[in-house]
Amino acid sequence: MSRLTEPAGRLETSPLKVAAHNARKLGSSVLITNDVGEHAFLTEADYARYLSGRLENGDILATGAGAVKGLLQKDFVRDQLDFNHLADRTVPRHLLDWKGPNVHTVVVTLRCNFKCLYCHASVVGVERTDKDMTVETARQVVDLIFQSPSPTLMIEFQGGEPLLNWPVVKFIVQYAKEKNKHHKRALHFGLISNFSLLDDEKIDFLIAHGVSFCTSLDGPKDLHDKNRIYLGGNSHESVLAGLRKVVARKAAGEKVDTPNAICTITRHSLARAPEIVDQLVALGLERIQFGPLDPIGFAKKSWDTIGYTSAEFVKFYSDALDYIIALNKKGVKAYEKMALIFMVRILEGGHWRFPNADGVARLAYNHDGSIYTCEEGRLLANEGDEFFKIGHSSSSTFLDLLDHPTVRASLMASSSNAQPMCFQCAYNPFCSVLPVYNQGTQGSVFGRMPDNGWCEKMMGLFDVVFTKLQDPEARKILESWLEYKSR
Amino acid sequence: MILETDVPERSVSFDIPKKIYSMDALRIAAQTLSSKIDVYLTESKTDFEVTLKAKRRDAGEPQLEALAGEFGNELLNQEYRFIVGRFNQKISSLIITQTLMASRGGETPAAPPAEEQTPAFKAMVAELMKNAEAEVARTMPKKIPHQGTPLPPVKEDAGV
Repeated sequence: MSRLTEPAGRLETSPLKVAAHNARKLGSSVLITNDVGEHAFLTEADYARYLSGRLENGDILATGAGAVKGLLQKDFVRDQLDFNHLADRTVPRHLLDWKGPNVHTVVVTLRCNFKCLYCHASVVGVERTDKDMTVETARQVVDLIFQSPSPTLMIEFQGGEPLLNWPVVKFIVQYAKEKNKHHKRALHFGLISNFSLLDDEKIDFLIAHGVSFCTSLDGPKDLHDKNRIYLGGNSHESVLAGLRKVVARKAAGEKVDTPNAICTITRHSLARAPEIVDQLVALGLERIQFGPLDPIGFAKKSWDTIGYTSAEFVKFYSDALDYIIALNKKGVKAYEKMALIFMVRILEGGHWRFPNADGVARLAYNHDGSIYTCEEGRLLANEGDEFFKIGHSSSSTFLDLLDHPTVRASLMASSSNAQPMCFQCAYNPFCSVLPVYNQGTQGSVFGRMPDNGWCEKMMGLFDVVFTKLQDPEARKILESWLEYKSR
Repeated sequence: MILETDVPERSVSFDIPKKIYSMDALRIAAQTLSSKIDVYLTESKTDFEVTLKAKRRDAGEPQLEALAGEFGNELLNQEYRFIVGRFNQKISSLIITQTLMASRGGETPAAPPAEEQTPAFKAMVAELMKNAEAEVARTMPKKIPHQGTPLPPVKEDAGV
């Protein structure tokens, strides 16, 4: 018989006493959230009643007859907490049952045939094969990846342009699949490429081995070509040609995911949200994904030309989300990736994909075998700051990586409960602190939130999404996007 | 905060009350901003007397004042972080330790599958590697060094 005490169920007490929560005024409403990621909207008057501890079980609030019951169920009432519910929500939220890194970014080469204005990746010219990952390093990297106990492994090929080192991409796929016959993990591959070198032979191989395709498409031709300069070719055309080839294979019944296209947002994009969305939708892509620029790595050098404030990005995002929701109302199937991630965190209480727990949720492997807590950490190393380097494929074991002090420091910095401002923030349960951003912009993994650009951007984005969640029609559409989670 | 700037010396000085700020917070703030400033410290009974010396040679009065402001913000941030830490340190440490422990795969991580130690598996891996290396040799552009060979340094008179 267990010696553990059964957690208490709800105790019926009245009036309803206030449980620990954070609050944020949004328009005429007050958003309240608690540590396990539950949320509720109240009017200012009802929030005042709630705070005063005078709410009774049968009270009717402006937000509906079931609002008080909702507060009880979501553990906003101090004397009626459901500890089973709290435990169920706490474990995934804090990664207490996490099974190790599942996203593994492998940089197979630093060579690139593009010269993008904002490229963080510190690329080199196509002749520099000394910046390719060797086959032996690739073997070591795959062996390390399989040391992670995660039941799901995602290997993402990045560069440079990964197709410039095609033999090593192929080797990693083949070797990982052979190993997986014994390890039996859910093994996935993703290729992040500019598609300029994507021919039918490569597509055949990639589809046959279940590799998903992802590229960058920054919008209409003039915008894309301004941002992404192709040395010796037509940048926009090459991306469209690659996307069309893969979409056509899928239409022909081949087993391949719809390709994804990430749209990097520069200053030139800010006024063009509808055009950008229209282009992606016209190509048959359902996922719209915006990549905001951060003033770290190479982008820092061109920030005066292409950068923008966090508020400007939030305005762009709000316009784009309005437009995508309007398209949904007309029956167009499209969703926005960041909003989907937020929905998973807000409505389901979990973290989808990697929650920025660098070193624990994701790892990045450079062409030379150096290992970083995350891809952004590798980019920072290109600028001379090697803080996030935690090992090398030739000499480190998986446990060496996990035991590295930088991993613990990154986790501590990622813990929003230990951050000034974050621990009082209503968005705390849904947000992610990015230690690399803090290190790159403010000189410390912990950062300084009151003037931290990442924090300003995230708060702005959450304001947009939570405002939409108060509109029943928009909320229904956002909730429907959860069906894309498994894709 | 009363600032005393010395533009020729590229320095700005001010006092910090010991009642509010700790030496630890001062040290962390100095370390955080070490790419921009050197920090010199003396102390009286009640205050730390701080002098910041800018690393940029062209730092004028506005830049020095901005550096003092940034240092003050960082100092406040660090002191506040200590306060938050005192509230949450225990639970944060527990969460992080549990997350790290779970991510290791428990106290005794699983050993690699025995099949990977068999001669057949090793031969298969060797064959895959041989094929990949042959493809690298066959498909890489000409007039480039072999993989892993660093390029020779560019000579100053090479005209590039």
